[in-house]
Amino acid sequence: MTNDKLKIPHGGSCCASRFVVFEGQFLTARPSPFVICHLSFVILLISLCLPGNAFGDGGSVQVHSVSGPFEITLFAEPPLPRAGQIDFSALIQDAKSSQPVMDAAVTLALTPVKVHQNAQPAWYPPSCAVSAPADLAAVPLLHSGASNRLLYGAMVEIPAAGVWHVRAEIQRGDEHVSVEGNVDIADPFPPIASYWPLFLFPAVAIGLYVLREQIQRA
Amino acid sequence: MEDAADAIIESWSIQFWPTVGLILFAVIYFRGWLKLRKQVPHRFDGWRLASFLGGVGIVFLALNSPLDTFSNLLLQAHMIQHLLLMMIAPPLLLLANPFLPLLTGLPRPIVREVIRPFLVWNACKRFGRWLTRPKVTWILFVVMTLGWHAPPLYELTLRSPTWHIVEHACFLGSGTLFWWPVIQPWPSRPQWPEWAIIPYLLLADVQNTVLSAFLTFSDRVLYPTYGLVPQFPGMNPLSDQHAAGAIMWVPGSIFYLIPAGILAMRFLSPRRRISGRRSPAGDPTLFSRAHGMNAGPNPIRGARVAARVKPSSVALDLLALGFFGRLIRSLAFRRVVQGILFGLAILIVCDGLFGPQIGPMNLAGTLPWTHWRGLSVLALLAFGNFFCFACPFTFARDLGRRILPAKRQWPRWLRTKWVSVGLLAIYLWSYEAFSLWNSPWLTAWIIIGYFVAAIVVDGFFRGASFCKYVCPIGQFHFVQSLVSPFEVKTRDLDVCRSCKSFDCIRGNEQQRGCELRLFQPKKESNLDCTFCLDCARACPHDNVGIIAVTPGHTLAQDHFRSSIGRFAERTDLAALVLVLVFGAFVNAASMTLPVENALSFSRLTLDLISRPAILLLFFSVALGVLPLVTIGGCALASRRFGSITGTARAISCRFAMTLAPLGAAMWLAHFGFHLFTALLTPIPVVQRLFLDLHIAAAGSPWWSLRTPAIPQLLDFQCLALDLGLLVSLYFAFKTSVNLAANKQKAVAAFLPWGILISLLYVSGIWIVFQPMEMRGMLH
Repeated sequence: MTNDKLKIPHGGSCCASRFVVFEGQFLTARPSPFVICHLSFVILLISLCLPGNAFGDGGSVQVHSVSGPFEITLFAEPPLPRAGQIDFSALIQDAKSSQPVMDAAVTLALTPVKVHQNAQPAWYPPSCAVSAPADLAAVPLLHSGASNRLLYGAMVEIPAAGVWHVRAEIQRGDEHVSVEGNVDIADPFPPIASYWPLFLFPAVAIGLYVLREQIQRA
Repeated sequence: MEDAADAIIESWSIQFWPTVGLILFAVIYFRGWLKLRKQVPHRFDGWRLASFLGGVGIVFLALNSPLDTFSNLLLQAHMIQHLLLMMIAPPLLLLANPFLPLLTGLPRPIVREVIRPFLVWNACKRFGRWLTRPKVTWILFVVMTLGWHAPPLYELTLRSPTWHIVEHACFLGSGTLFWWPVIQPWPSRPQWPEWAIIPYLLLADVQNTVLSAFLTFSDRVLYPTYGLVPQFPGMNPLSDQHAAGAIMWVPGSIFYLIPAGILAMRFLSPRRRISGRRSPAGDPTLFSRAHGMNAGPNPIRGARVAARVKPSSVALDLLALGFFGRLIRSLAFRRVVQGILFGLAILIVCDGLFGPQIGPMNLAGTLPWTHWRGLSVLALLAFGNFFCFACPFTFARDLGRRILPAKRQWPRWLRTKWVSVGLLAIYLWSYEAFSLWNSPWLTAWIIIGYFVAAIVVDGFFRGASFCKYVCPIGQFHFVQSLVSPFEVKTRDLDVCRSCKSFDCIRGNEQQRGCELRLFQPKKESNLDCTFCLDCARACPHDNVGIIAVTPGHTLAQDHFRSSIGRFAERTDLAALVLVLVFGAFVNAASMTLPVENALSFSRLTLDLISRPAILLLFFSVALGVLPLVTIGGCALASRRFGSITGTARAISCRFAMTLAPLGAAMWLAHFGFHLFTALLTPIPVVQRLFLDLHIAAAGSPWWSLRTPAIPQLLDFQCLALDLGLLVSLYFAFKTSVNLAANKQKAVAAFLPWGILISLLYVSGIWIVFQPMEMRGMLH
């Protein structure tokens, strides 16, 4: 008996027909279609729940202002910004028509106002340490840096928690405006907390194995 | 970017892990569908596949398309996303009868070892039956729909990406359950008569209508977040909410009413009434047939159809893959590959000796230490020992043998792994002590030394003594290939039993036999196998292949193995495995900042002047004392608590082998890190080399070129360690079961090893989270 063999022998009764040979081994009863489908769907759902590394920009509104001909909204993702990587994005709209402005040059400047005493420094995955942190004094926000291409965005690495002053400069032709405000940056998550599904996986697998042994013993 | 409409269309946000999950899901189904289509084509025709892929595609669209990007700005985009996840993707997935294809599409060992015990567990089946009861599925669906649309929970999902993901998972899960009794995917059995599904759908539509009417006619913004975000032209939060309500109401209702209508028509049709009398329980595939789908009458008969499934003959055999199989089997191909690597080695040596003496600017500082090591571990764990197959040193050795006699026997007292254990320990120490990765000159001389050693040893001694007893790289490959998914092995043992010539080991006039003295019928695992395929070419019965196996499947057994013997009697082999396992962790830890600081501190404290001296102390402890103490301690504890008969040495040797998967995972995590962070470094190095050779075509070296950071790399490293942990734990437990008298004793015998493996895993996780020295790169 080799692989791929799914054989359900004919039986004299309904009950007998429920015996299955799979992979050359008898199962005591026909496997429940539910279990297979739903185990697979559970795997799918787990994979959907694994943390995505790309932020979908947008997030929470940090600064909203009408300045000159523009209506400017500055977002930060994650919605509760924490020290480390933050996806800043800006939606620039025409103040009168609310049409998105697509041809402006947007620059972001971040300066610490009050960095928390004894604040934990931000943590980056070791592989990301090679990319030099951007100059926080002039971070260019680009359409290509945002998932939502109506927005101008960039991934910014904030080194420490505290209150940060943020200033966005918008230039289109001769028009030049800026908006500013303060953003509260919370302490970073412990690195382990960001990867919890990957540490949960062995624990769940071991738990299932123990359960499997119990089932077989029973 | 000028056009806002173009910008909206381009606003995709591909999420890595969900996309990987969906692709895997589709591949598993496709694999199963391919097998089943040949055997029961009427059950698995093309549209089933299209339906499944359509369902997967809809989920992908919901999670990655502009719908997701705009879901935090526009409620209507969010609503469409939810409809896709609840109303369109689940029916499409279920219409594909996913049960059998997913079962047969999964790798056999996973089905056998992981899924089968749960399939037959009564509690699981009872839970499954309970959960697929229409009453339960309906209530779950309604609770999920109403609950997640309640303003507090909905706001929570807008504030928290994690809760947003949970919400989507709930929608997809409850949607799948809701549509289960409606579609009744073959071969599941209906729990309600078919007419009852009509009110089931209509009542669901009522709750949908109530909710959507509430959204549509409300005169206040229910979800305040949408009131705070900027508004698009011609829209305000309330009009957006009304539009979302209308979307939920009209298209949402259609998804309930169309199947309800079809079922009603089927139920009322005269033909159906007749067949309905024959089968009061109802036909599970009614919905399928109502759509003109070709489905069988009932699951029992369907199961009988499946009983006629013909088994495939054997597991995947790379040598049986037509042209590809013939190619890798041919000696000419091996010589070509070896020749290319030989040429590359000569180039690296020349550059190492005469090029700039800065590692990242020299071929000798980049290719051997960063790329070759990373790729070889990847190839070992994805396929097998193909780097020994392409070894340039044996190529030089075979050339040397044309002149040198190669008639002496390798001394009996050296026929162990001790020489290579010593060489490996020296290599691991010297790599750090002399910064080999940053010394092209030393690297070049090491390669030259390797060539000389290979030519001299195998030029004077018979067989492949260098590969089997000396080569540290070969030993590394042998041990890691214990967990390779492919193995050079016999296709059919009965053919070997009737064989009288034993050409696989003796050779014949055209082809030499195995130089490492591995007799195929008695060979288990890839240990000592260089994938040279001499045996495959020599076998007169064409009975040797590169066959898919369960990785590590022989680690818990201790049969007599050709040319290896038994694990329990091979202290040298256990020492080799331990040096490579502990070496994996020590080698990676050495380049982390905390360990580097600790070494510097110790150097000052102990007043040791030279770095090599402190490293010698560190490596002696980490590769000598530590394994000896921990393995010895575990073996003694295991023997005592598990009442295992046998010496502590034999027990150590058995269990030491089970650590190999975790060691392989650590090597993969470590070398993979360097490979993917310095992937592009050879480009400017090659440009520089061309320039040195006065070839201007490649342009001036692009030294500022940086490999883009891969944020998912740490996920992969953790995942590799997770798998290494689980495989090692599994085989350690299996070994305990094999050695102990009963299950309880086995658990007691396993515990010390389980703790040791877990500690190694934790240290591996700690290492991959530390700031790493970026070797092989210009900073």
